[in-house]
Amino acid sequence: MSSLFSLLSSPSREKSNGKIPTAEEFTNGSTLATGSADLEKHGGNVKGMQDTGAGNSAPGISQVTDERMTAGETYSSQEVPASEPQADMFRLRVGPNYRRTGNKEPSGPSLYDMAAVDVLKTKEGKLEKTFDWFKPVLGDHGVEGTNVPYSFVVTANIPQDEPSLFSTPGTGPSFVIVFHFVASPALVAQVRGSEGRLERSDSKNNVLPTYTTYNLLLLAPLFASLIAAEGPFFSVSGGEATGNLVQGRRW
Amino acid sequence: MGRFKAMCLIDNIEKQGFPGFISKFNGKPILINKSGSVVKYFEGEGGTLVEGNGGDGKRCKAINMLINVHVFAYIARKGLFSLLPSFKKMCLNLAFTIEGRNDEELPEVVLGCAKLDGMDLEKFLEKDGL
Repeated sequence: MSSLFSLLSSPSREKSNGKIPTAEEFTNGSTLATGSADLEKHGGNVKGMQDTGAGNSAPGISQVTDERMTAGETYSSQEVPASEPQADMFRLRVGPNYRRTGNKEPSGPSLYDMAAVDVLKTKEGKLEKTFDWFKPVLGDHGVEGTNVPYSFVVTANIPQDEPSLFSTPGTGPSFVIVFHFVASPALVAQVRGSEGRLERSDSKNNVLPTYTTYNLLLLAPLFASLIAAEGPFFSVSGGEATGNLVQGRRW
Repeated sequence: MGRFKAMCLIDNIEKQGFPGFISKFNGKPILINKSGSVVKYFEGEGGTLVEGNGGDGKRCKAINMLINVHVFAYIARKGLFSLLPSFKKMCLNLAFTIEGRNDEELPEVVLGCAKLDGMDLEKFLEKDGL
């Protein structure tokens, strides 16, 4: 019988109550460690997640009847610390004239906060099925009335086996890592407070620079073009919407 | 063309004993192009999530960016594979963003980021059917 291991993390590194089941207990399906990500600051709770019958609003050990999991639960007998770093450790492109100047600066605060990271080992590495296993953190919490999704998930499969020079299998034994993010309070506030505009704030002193606007909304159609999807992922009701774009302040 | 970018910044990479040519790629963004796809989920009946492309005024509740590392270039897969045993000794800082190219698309901003400190992949057991 196989078991599923998961990493749980929260920005506060809050974990379950320390009574961590052994791998054997998991293999027997007798217990499941359930940890809740620190979602209070988002106005959410674990019950706000997709209900798989496994949701719990408090950290601790609980019995579950449904094998599927909500984000942040863990079968793991190990504790692998995961947390949310400061976004400004990453240097990203800034304008104007980036092509000429090549300037990069520390990023502003991330638009989505990390809620949990899950890891599992699979034979086939089928990413789509993983989403069925780990229900995302759901909610509205301020983004209702817009088309800004509250939950943003990144799923990647890392091959377990040494790659071959002569073939690209496309699937195979993998470590699947699932990053769960939820809209940050700042994102919600910016969407609400600016009627659709996302303005940049400085992570260190909270001063709003005069020179720029977060252009996530402008980039949204490009994001959608990754899969040639119809329409943008992010569009906002209200504001100065222009077609699929939201007109922001320019340089 | 894809614009989704992933970055991995390894803390104290100079102490990991990697060759210099690897160290200089620390924190460099990787453009997710053919290996990436996005799935959107909309409100369904009874609070469920329905995969699709929207329409009918339904709200996008969640998006899932899928990155299939199996189709990365050989040299990238080889490099990643060689690093796997070292993950348990490393602190990985990962971030995702959308590439901005023109002035009106800049500055870029981190969509989401996570730190994985000492992840021992050997301890994970296998799950069938996925």
